[in-house]
Amino acid sequence: MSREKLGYRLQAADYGSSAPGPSSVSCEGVGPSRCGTGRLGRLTFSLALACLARTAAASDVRALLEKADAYRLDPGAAQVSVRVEVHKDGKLDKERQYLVYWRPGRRSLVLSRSPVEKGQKVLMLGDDFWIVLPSSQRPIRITPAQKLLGDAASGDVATMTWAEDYDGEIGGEVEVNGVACFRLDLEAQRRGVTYHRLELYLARSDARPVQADLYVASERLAKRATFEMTTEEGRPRVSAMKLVDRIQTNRETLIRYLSRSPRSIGDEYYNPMFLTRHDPD
Amino acid sequence: MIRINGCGRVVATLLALLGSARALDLSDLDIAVRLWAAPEGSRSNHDSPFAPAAELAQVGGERGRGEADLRLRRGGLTAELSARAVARTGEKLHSQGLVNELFYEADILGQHLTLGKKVMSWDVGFGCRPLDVVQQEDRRALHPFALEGVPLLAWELFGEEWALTLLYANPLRGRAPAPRDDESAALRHYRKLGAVDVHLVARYSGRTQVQAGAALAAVLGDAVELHASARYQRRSERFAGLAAGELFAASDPTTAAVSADVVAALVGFTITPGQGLSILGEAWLDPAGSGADEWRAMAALAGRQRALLGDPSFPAAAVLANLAWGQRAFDRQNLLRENLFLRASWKGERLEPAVDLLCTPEDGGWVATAAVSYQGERTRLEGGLRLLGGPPGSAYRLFPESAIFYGALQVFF
Repeated sequence: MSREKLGYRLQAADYGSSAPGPSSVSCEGVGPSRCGTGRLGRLTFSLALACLARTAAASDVRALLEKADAYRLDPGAAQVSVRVEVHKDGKLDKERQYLVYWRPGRRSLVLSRSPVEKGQKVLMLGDDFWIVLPSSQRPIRITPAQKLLGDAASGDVATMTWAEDYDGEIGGEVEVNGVACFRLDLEAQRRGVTYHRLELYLARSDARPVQADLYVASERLAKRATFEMTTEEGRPRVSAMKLVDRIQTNRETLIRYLSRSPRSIGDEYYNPMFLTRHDPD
Repeated sequence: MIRINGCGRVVATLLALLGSARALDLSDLDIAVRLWAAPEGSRSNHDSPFAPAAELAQVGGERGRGEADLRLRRGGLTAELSARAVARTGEKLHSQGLVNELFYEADILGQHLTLGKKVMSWDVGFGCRPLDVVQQEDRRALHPFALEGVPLLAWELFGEEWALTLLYANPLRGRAPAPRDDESAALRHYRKLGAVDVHLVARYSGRTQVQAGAALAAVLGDAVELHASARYQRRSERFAGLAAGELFAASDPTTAAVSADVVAALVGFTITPGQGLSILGEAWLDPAGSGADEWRAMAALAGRQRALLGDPSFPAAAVLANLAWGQRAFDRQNLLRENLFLRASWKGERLEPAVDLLCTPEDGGWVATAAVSYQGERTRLEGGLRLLGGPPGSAYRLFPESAIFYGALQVFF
């Protein structure tokens, strides 16, 4: 079954749509005067249906991603406290803490809270990045490749949603760690993202993230992410994301979401020149 | 400038502040402490005509510096206090305490005000920073002390993609020997134009008169950053020693030669191909530097002065003093006007090795540095070697040290 077809079937099955899949579309019930308008008419109709199917599949993917994102972050601006633990051969090797202010539109302000990096700030506005180091107190423009924060890329720390950055199609259904999952084949829609391609596995039952294979620009599988779940205020939430390095296989990075709450800070905090002023209280 | 005599008072102030923090409910007080010490050694350059007076000029030998910084913030109030010490073999320990920063930031009805002493760096470059018209910093210095802010009053506005800063620095101070202490008014405008940052800066002070400049920083793709900045200055000063033809001075002959309508400019790039590798390249023109011919003249003069040592008609102390005064020519960020700089670094898990090379094409001089740092959870350890060289008569070859080796330990709380 083609991916478009699968996508269409999923829409009907999971979201209550009564729209039939392309394979079930026929001229039955339509009079010959309308159906038999020649090859050109059929071709146009088929193309229109194919486009419709593709659009429907895309909206399925988006809906699934938004649902998966909600396990990490509620819609709207938020403040998230994050601890990044790097484990080597099973032992804790490094630990960093960050406070992330996030708002829709791919805007994040990351404040380093660990003693050795205290005062360091990274601002992400879409594909543009700035850093302020405590020693110089000036915003420095950096490339997307420079936005590393310790062992977790800021894409891992500052980007908490997939729906804004990725699009693609549903590639099939597989079982991951005993969980029936949709496999989403996702391509980055913007250049500033850390991973250019994702294979994201979402639980078929509730679209919670189960696993993600993260590919960098060279098409190399850089990391495999798995997700730990908890219950907060009666809702299932992602409590941690574990990143296993596929190159240095003895290394694991655990990104723990210590706290998250709705919080909107002033627009000025997302201006790079404001980075040298005080942090949000 | 707010200075306190001796470390004792600073320590007392720190303790008082910490005590106050405990007495009050200051759970939202943000505290950061950094301690560091950096011992240095060097290899003397005996070929330098200035070499006999190196000790007098406090160049060469074993030395070390250390600093304790305490940074406190609560709401809009920020303070950074430092206790510094400088040690040199055979000399007394020099210590000093100072308030690096002490400012209050208020955000009222979309207006952003700052009052106090604050670091205010504006340029986009690394090796040279033409738009740092208020705050100057030398990014190539080996373990400099924490930047000391400038007393100022600033008013700022921030839009979605622009910012405007108007400030009055060193109020009522008038002209001062150091640019950072000079009374001045300055304006900065920032605008984000797509992937390009544009900065426009203007400043006026009685000492420099009008300064105006612009800078750009842009990111192309995932791995390339380009930056450039340029500054025009109506009145510029740079080092000048003894007048031509004179051999000897009875007192420090150092003066500031004044030039009109000068331009400082820098262009540079950063390439980050991935895997933690970063390559920075810059070329700049600094009107505060001297020309190769001026360095040759200074070398010739120092050579003639050095030849007087042992001549009974010239007291040795006076000859050495003249040679030491001549070494003030090295107390500049850029010894020559034209400079090329290349730096490569690699950020590993905990180790970060880096190498850089500064060249002065006009005289063929160079400074090469290799360093490696290790970052722990609360510590940062660094060691490195800096070599200075070039053809005979080139500025860096004239320096009384030909190699500096150093270490540094920083501890963070």
